Amino acid sequence: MGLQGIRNAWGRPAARSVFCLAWLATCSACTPSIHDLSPQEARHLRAPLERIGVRTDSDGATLTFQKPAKGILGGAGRGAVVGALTPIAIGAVFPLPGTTFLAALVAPFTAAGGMVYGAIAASSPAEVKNAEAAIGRATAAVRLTRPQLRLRDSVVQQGRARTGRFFVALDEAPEAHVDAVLDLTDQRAGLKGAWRINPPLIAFAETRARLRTPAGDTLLEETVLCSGEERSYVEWAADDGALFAAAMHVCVEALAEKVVDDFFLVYPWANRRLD
Amino acid sequence: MGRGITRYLLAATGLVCCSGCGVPVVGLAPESPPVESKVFSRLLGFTPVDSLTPTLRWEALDARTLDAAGEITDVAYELRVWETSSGYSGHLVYVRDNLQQPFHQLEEPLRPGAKYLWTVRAHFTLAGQRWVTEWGMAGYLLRDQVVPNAACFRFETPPRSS
Repeated sequence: MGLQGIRNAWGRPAARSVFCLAWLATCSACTPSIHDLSPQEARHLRAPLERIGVRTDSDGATLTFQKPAKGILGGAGRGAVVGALTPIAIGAVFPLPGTTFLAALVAPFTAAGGMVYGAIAASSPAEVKNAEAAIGRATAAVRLTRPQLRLRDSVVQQGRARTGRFFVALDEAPEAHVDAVLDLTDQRAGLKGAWRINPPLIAFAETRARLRTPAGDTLLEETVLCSGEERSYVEWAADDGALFAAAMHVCVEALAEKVVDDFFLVYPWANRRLD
Repeated sequence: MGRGITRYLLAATGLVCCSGCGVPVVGLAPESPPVESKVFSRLLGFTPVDSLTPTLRWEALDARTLDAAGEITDVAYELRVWETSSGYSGHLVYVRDNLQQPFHQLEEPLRPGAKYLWTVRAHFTLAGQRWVTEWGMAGYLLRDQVVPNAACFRFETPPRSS
């Protein structure tokens, strides 16, 4: 099928579904994870790996912070959008005919209600600004500790201590002297939650881990995520963002443990169902 | 009209299918306190326990549970308990390594009226190689997340010591 053929076929829903399924299947096939392997495959994959080089991005993590609505205007705007979209979303999934249309009729009223609620419930601009400054100071303090290098060093340390293999940071050894390279890239961190007036937020940190041969062939790949408790933005900012900084510190060690577990120790065991 | 009926049929089929299937679990399954699934939530409920030093039990690891060919030796369990407020993560309050039995009574009292996440995994030797099971999780399986996470097993302590 030529490019024009693909363009024509894309207009048909059935063909679109087939393309999407094929794309999903291709993606899952090209990103092997430990959970996709059989125990024999895991054993054969890990057996020849005696010396593991660990490399990380030199840049810091990409930071994203979901914030609460700021002041009366911010609260009213966000409240109107949430108020309008909520009935439409409910109508769209409600299993009765005509509910989406009914929801669209109701939406202007719920938007007005949401606008009023948002204007009342939103935090004051000064409070959000102070919290932003505190989170900013905490983030700067965390950056100074070079978390990406701490993650790499923790993987090296835990790998040596727990797997019986020799792990080395790759700025200490050339890539040619290792059996495989563990790349820790695409690190992200911050606060995330629902887009609401003053949503509960989760502190998170994640990294992409890719085990490859020195020639570049991928052996295993996985994105691992660490999440903290739910708190409001202002709660995370309390005491100069101490809780946020502590959550990031815990996450570095936890991510390192998860990477070492999944890539070098875990027995692939399919999920089951409890009766 | 036709699309609405289709939606209704899809939703009804989903409900029928899900009512017959158990709670998904990875790693070692918990036995006590049992998992408490909720009807319209992918997360587990907090199972009440009657003591501040509850006994946690999980399935024993052997060749049959693991469906593995070969003898499993040197099995040791590792247990972690976190106190939580939201159920998404928590503060580590109890750790035990090298447990030889698939149960453990906590040796230090927990806080009354508090919520906890817990999980367990096994270290073992199979065919001369050391392995570890994934941390036990149930419900909405968050296999890409470190522990603690929202899929860890859950219990809550009684308001007062009993």
